[in-house]
Amino acid sequence: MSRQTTSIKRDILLGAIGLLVVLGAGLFLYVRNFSLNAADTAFDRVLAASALSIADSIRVEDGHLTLELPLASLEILGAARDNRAFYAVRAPDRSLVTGYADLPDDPRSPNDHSPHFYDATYSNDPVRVGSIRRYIDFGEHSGWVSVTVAETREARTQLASLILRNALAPMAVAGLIICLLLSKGLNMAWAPLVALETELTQRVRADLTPIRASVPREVASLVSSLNAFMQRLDGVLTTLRGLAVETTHEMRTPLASIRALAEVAASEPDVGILRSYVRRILVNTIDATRIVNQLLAEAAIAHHIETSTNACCDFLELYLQAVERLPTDHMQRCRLADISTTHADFPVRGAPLALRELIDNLLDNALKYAPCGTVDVDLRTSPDGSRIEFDVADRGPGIPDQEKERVLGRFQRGSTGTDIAGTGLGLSIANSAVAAGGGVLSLLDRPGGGLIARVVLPRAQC
Amino acid sequence: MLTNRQRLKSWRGALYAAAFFAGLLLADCDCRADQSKSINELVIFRAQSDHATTLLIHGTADVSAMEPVIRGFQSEFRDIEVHYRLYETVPLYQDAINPSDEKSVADLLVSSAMDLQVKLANDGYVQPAFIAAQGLPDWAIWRDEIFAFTLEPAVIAYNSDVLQPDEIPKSHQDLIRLLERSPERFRGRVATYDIGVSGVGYLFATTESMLSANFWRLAHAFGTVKAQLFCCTEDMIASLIRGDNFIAYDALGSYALRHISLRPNLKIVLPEDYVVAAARTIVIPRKAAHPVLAKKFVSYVLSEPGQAVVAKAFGLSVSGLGADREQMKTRYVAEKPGVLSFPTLGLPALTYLDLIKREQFVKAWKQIVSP
Repeated sequence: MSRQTTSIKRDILLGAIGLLVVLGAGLFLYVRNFSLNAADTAFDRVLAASALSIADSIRVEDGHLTLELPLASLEILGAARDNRAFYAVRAPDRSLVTGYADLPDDPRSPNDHSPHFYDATYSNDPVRVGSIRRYIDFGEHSGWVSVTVAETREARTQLASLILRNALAPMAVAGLIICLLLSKGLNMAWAPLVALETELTQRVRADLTPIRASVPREVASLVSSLNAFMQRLDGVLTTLRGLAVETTHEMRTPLASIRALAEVAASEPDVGILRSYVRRILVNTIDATRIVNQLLAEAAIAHHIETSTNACCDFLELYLQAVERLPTDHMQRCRLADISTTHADFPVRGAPLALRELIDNLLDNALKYAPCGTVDVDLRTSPDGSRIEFDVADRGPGIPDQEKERVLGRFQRGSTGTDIAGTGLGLSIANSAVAAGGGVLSLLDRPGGGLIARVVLPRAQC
Repeated sequence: MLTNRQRLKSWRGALYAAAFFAGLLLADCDCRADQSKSINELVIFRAQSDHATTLLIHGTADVSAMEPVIRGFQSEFRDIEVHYRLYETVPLYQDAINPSDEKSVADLLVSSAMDLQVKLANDGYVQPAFIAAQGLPDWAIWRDEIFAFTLEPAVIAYNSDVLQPDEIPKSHQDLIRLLERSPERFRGRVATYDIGVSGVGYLFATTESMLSANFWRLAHAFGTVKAQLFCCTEDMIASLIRGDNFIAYDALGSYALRHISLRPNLKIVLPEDYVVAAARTIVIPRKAAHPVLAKKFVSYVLSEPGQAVVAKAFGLSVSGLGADREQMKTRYVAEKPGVLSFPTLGLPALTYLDLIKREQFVKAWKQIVSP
């Protein structure tokens, strides 16, 4: 079963046409009703005029009602040419004076004397009947003489349909024009998207440069977010590509030395010397493993930063979790300063994994480069409450000012700790994690010797 | 008291109804004017090839006038047999409303009583035929149900043996002056319709009464010379030819025209001030057995060849828009015929049928013409 894909264009067009049809039907009924009423109003007056002209000719002769049917009475009804007409004049006692005896009499009570119009059927056709009453005084028979005139509906129908046609024709044209405009407008609205699609499909695969096609304002934001997305994608790709290059480069040295050592060890008969080779192989292997781990971590963080939504997390909680992961002896060396501030919580926005790596790496560095002393950790909220400051201070050798900038880069190590195992990736990872969170990582000299690694992150509103 | 009055009323109503039909019956012996004597005679026109269907026509026009029209129709539709039954106008009308039996329902009604034909159409007894008639004037067609196919003006006929050339009344005005100048000479020598009896005469009179301010003066002149009243054109013309009368007023032109070549002393004049005219009409009854065939006949009669035959048989055709005057000049050898008053088909014709109106008009006219 294939599900038809939806089409906005088709939906809008069908919706509009449906609406127009409903509207048209409504208008048709309204105008038709109106035109019938208008025709009845107009022709009822003619009917009344005819009846009045007959009523005017009623006379009394020798005590009897008589009249000379005016030519005009039927002539004005005949002006419409196609109508048939019938008339009846009845005395106060309802007896026929002249005309069609079986023409339906005015059904109203004899006391109602206003002109009256009603529909009836006569001679197999629907007719409109007009009836008027006139008081004639002729002695004892005095009373209301009724004049009833009926005509068939041809002229009324003609006029009504003429009104209907003339009212509906412009509306039909307008409806048609609306449909055309709509279809044209939809095509115009779609044109930039089609152009965009064409540009994207015609690109070479690896091309992630921003889209340059000029687009209307309405589509510009789509293009700019598309461009930003491609830029981020490009960034991740560049990072991963750099990582791959760096990894192979960094791994080459320990692998080469492991291979050389293993080759020498393979032909070494003395067990003591062999063991020392093996130990050196082990050291090199550990080195290589650390490099791989760090690189993987960085790759993961880079990916994580690009892809994860910036969740809200509490920095203190993240720190406490990090401390818990440390070995017991290390855990005891970390000392958190009193954090009795106005703010009890430290909300930040960022990728949790990246923030965790940030704290891990800073603690790791401090513990590593100052192997004996304690690590003093401080967590504060800036006085204006807009930032969170996190200090990790040690009594290690510190970093000279001219290197402070450099060590934040990848595979860069300070000159002061070269004897200590490290990959030169820890601070780089920390730096990119802080940058992703919109903050700043700075390295400061600690008064009395040592280093302070300071993280300043904007306080989030969660 | 009340019941008495009611009884009186209903009795009077019945009297009126009876009078209405009596009036209609009397009104129309004029049809005899152009009919053979044998009323209700059935004339059969055989089909020219093997006959397939029969068309039944009820008509008031005399057989000799209708024959060329029917033959013309048959020359186009060779397999149709036509039955033509002669009627008087009122029985024709009554038969259309209440057919005596199913078989006698006509396919076509041809009548000179325009008002009765209009009444048939108005009261729903006929069916429409949508004829693509070209050049047919507006007045000659109503609701696509009733069609006029002849135009028959009222003429002044005179006996040329008696009247001096300078006495010939060329207009109504002339006639009034002639009669008023020498009433003694024309006493009992003027013939005209008895409008209480003749439908066409009544139609002419009512039309003239509206058209001319001199209508009642002319009536008065007729009264002065004691004009003789006739039921029909036929009798008027006959008495004219005999020399009993000198002048026949409002004679049916089509009839006079047919006799003019045979009677050298019979002359006719189309009045130069105004001319009133009657029209012969044709309708298809709603219950017609062969409506399709009937429509073909109507189509033919109104077509160009049909109208040519009609012009020959009845004097004037109705088609040929704008040519009426020329046609009239040629056919009636009139130098300058007056304004032609067309007998417009439609509702106004019904007013003439109103009983009270008719009764009063005829009464007033009779009081003046034959006191």
